[in-house]
Amino acid sequence: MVNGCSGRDPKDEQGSGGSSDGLGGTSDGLGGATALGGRLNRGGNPNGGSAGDPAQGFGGELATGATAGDGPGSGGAGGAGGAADDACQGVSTEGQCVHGARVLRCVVPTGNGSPTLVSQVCRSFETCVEDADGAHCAVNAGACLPDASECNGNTLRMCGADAKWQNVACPGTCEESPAGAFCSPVLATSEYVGKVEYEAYGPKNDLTDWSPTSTFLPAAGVLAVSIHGEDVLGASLLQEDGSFSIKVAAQPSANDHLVFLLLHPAPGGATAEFGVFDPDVRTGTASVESITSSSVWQWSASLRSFPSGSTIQISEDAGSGAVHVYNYLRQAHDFVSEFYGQSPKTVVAWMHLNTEWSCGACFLNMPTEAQSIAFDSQLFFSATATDRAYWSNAVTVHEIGHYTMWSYGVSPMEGGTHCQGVPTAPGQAWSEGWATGFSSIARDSPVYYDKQQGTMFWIDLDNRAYDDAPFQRPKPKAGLLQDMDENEVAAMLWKLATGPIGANAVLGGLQAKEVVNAPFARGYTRRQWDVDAKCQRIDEEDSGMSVPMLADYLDGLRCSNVAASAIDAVTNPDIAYPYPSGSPLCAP
Amino acid sequence: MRLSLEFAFALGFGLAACQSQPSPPAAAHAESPAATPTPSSGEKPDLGPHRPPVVVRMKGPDSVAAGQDITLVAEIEQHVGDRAPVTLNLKLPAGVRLVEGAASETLHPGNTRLERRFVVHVDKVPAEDIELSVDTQNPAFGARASGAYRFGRAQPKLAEPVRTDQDTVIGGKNLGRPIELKPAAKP
Repeated sequence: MVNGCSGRDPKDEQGSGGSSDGLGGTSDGLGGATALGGRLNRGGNPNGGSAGDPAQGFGGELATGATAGDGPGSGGAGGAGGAADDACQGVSTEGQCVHGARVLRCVVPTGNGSPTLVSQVCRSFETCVEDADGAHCAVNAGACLPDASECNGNTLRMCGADAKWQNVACPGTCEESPAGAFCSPVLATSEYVGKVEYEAYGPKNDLTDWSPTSTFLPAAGVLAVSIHGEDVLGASLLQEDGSFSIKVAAQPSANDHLVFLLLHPAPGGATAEFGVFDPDVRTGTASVESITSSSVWQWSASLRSFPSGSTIQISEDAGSGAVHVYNYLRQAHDFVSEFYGQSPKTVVAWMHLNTEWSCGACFLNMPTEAQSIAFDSQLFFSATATDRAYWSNAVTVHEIGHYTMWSYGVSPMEGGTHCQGVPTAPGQAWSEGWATGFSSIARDSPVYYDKQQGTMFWIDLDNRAYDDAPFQRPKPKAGLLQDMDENEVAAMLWKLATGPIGANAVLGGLQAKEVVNAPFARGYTRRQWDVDAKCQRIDEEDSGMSVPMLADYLDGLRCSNVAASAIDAVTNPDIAYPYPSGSPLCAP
Repeated sequence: MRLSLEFAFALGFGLAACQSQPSPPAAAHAESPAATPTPSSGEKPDLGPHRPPVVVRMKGPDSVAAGQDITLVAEIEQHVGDRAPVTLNLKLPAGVRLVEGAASETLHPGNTRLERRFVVHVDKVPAEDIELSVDTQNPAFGARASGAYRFGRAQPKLAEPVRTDQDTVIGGKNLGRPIELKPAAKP
């Protein structure tokens, strides 16, 4: 089917037998236990350490169109008016506090979301603070987050609605889990062993649709909880092969069951690092601002139906797509934690069956709470019968690429509609290109694939630059700050990662001083725009805020001693991107 | 290397852009009195982060009875540059036969929106859909767009799993109701 893919046929990358992104494959195969990072040397980030967010405030008039929310969640969006207007009315993505009790923040979803001004009213036990994480509501000293729970020895501390701790002496032991702490009752128990698998699909060999045949993969990292009536007896994380052991009632009754939750504990067990939640939103198309309540994705297995020793299977009809997203989120979390040397910020992924998000799939750097569990950021994944896009590992990891950039580096957070194949502003090209490049590097495959609107499609980053390739290449005379095709950026990263400098340098470059410390030497500033019918930017506004773009990143590589020839080999400065590899701008 | 303006539209141009493209005249076919094209499939918003290079929407009457001729309209948006071939194939279920229109066709490459009309006679209303697929590929990208006329049947939906009637409560925190798992049926 495919030819000329630099000697690589996507069929061989995606297929169902021993491929790198297919069923039963190795490095990105559905059957691989270490799907992410198959190519990567996990020896760590050559740049070491992490960089903080640039603490750069951006003033301006407060939004007059903003509407305060009346609860702990985000308030109404204001000011997203005409195309010529600044939808955020001068408020930055870092946000700002108003009278210490309200946060105003410009939210810029990735993908095709539009910048939106969001107002959040801090609760009575919170105060708005501005720090390196931007403006946010922080719990006051001495207060707690309602519904939070923790153990203090065998005393269960539960946070009431008044944000004050209440102590409960456990008759048995107090145990912590990512879903909260609990008193484990005094009861005769035994050890249950079992295994959980979920049904998964990959693309067909010819990438024209999802494969009609499924496979069952281990539900690694899923949280298992043993329930006895209204009591919790134990909690355990599933192993890489999906196996687990957990304390259950020695004499199970009809009220004894296991619950498997897509919630991953943070060290210490009292909070969660990430989870996949099912929001209460409408079917059809929903906006990312429409979530008001949710449940964690979870499944229940009766001990009478599934005695110890059972292999418990979650089918697609039971929502296994959510487990697949969780599986990739878990692998990516593990990988970037190890590579960058610390855990990323926390994130919740939202997925509701028969709902697609107005942004498509996107990442949102806005904190939220899901059932009293606080998360720093949000991922959105659509789930429709026509597309079943939750099987697209390429898309899932693309969004995780945005999350990674935001967690460990500096995202340009440049928002606005962009169209595939149409060069876009340098900040957005860098952000989207990084995400796609990250996806390919992490999956060890140049092929990006997705299904939308009933169309299965794929792009091969190894084929970018020639007559019948789809990419719009840069022009040497257009300068460093020219508009760029995001896939051109992704292809550069992929080719750098598969070239002499290797993937570690490419991923580590995200934290180079030149690409995290503002002001950024190449002088690009964040823009905001609308697009016309031909997808050309109109009504563009310049925020004046320094943000990184590709040339800053390439400076970071050069200043970290990556050879100029390696850079030139992918930028092709004579015929394409005129990056001056011989004269990088290195940060002091 | 040749740079073409068409490359700017390659690989999934936005819907907005398509609307600015002149549509070539649709192939002339007789309208059936019974045919009032209404959205049948593919009425979806634009999605990110990447957009498909080809999208098909099939429209036809809301209902149909055995013995009728009906007209189906396929709207095809293609953003494939000027080199990628685009092929169209109509698949008819048993009980339906093509009266007018081409069941297969090679479309011109390029970035455009076009329509194709098909008149089919329905001997009996089938349980299967009429499916139209549009394929394109070059060495750097490929796509298969699918559209369906469903004879008035509802759009497919993912199964809504059954949840238990017991909330999961841990540490006083209500995490909602789990989906109930059943042991696999023994063969």
